[in-house]
Amino acid sequence: MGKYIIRRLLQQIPILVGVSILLFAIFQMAPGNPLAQFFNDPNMTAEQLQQLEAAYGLDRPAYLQYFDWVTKMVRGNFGYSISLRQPVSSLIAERMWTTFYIAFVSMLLSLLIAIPLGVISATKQYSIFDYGGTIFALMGVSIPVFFFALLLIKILGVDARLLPISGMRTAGARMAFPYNYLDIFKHSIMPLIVLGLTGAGSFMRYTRSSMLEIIRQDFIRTARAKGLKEKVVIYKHALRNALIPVITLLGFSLPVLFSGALLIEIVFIWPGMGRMQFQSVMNRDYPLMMGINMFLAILTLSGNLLADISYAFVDPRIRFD
Amino acid sequence: MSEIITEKKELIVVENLKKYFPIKSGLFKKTVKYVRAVENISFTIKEGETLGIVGESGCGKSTTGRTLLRLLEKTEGEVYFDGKPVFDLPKDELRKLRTDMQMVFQDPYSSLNPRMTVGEIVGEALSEHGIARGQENVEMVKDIIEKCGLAPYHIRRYPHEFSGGQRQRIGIARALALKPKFVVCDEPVSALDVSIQSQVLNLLMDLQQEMGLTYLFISHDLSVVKHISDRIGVMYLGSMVELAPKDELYDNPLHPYTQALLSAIPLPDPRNRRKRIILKGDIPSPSNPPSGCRFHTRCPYVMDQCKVEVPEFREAKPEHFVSCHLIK
Repeated sequence: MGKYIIRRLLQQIPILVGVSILLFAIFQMAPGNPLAQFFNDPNMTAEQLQQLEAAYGLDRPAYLQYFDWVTKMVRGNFGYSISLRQPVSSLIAERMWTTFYIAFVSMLLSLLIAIPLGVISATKQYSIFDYGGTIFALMGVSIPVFFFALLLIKILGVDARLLPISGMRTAGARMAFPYNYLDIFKHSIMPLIVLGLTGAGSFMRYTRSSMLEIIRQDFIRTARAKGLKEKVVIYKHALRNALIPVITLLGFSLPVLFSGALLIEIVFIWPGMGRMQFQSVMNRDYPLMMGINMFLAILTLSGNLLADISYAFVDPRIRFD
Repeated sequence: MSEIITEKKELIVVENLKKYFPIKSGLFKKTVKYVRAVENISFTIKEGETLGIVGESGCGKSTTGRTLLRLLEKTEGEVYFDGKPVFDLPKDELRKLRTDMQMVFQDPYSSLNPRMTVGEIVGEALSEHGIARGQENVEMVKDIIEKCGLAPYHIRRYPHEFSGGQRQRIGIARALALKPKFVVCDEPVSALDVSIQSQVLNLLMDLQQEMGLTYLFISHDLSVVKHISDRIGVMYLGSMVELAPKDELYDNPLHPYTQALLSAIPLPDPRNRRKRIILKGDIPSPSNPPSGCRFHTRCPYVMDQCKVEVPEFREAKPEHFVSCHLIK
């Protein structure tokens, strides 16, 4: 197992080099200029622009710029954001957790709703409950996230005045220890509901189809023949096997957890990665864009690796040697 | 032999058991037809005896075995286990009864939970029924898998680490861990290599001796059934056509289907040829069975009566039951 992980980690290096070359090439070919925001500035002289170009190394040949970027990245330096005037790594570190909080909690919420619903839907296939669950899942998958978010803001925020409508903290308020976190939690309720419910739909369908496949298997009949309680048959024998594909799905959603739900962060003005990425594109902030993309590439690869490793833990038939 | 058996009590009594599976189709999933998998079967099994059931694929052998244990719900009829009506028991009592009646399944690959170790597979029922927990459970599991020809250290392994024959031994250990009285063996050796088949059959017979088990042994292999059974029932298209003690059935088959079936057993000596009775046509569909005697479409001795009247399943000779109009 240890050898397998090390081998897989070493395999990630050439993949990451490839990704970095591709990313750099795409951004080189993209129209526009990192310093475009200064072109229309009347206070900037041509000389100052040249100085800036030299400072960012933009006057050098592309391949040298690439090596420069990569060698710095290896040492943990992802560059310096032009628009926000801060190191990219510290920007990512700062925004990462607000996004992760929303994404992680909403995913837990999704699973908490989806797994029991999927199980009941499968064990009572074609019942009213199953059709109800399917309708719920289809609604969750097909309702536009921004629309659902606006609807919640109108109902819970504006009409009922139960919850704050946007942001992460109450503006200007200085609160003592438990209250500051409670404040963040209150601001996060609506984004959590939106992401949790819309995400539950697809997870529920996955659980349902996986369960349907498993409860027709022979070893379920064996479990019944043992005289086990139906609960034990379903939740111990069937569900544990049915969750294997769902766990893989979770591994693949690691990068999604961090990249953030862009629309949600824009509608609720939540200071997360998604919004930062959006702003970096709007501002043509090349170092920030490239830094975020590289970060997501690393996460995608780690997510795949984690999914592969977790297979070995949940399925004893799989061993890596 | 038969004198001793007749003195023993009847552990299993099956009366007119029927099992139909609905075929649903159309917009509103209306039941349009039934697959008549088991049609009016009656037989008894005495304590300590092995009743073999033979028949072609799809003739309802496995469905009979599963319905008998109420792993499937019946359509009609009744099954008595030790005097208790199996289908009238509430779910709780049925679960308790499962410690007395067990099943060895056909496919040793798919019938074991891939995520459980052998120790868990064999020991789970013991702890769920409150028979043995903790260390006692482990000891009992080790004991039974050793009896079934596995090693005690195997309890920590997963099913996929074993060969087919070993897996079937796990399946047998699993069924016998609860010390049942009655075991349905649903083609327990048909997925195995011929050389392994005899090992597993002998194991089943040894365990029967040792634990005083009663078997219902389902198979499509006539020589396997002959090897292990005391009495044999022959099934065709969901009905039992003949039931007799083993030697009587093989020496003196009464039903034309049984005669055709027995003529198909290959003889070990190629010079010694048997006259084969070749049946014409295919097996009719169990969703649309022929009228009268179900065998009449393929029977070489078919009469007009056979096409309209269902023959009664009656005792033609002592202990020898057959359902055919030819036998008066």
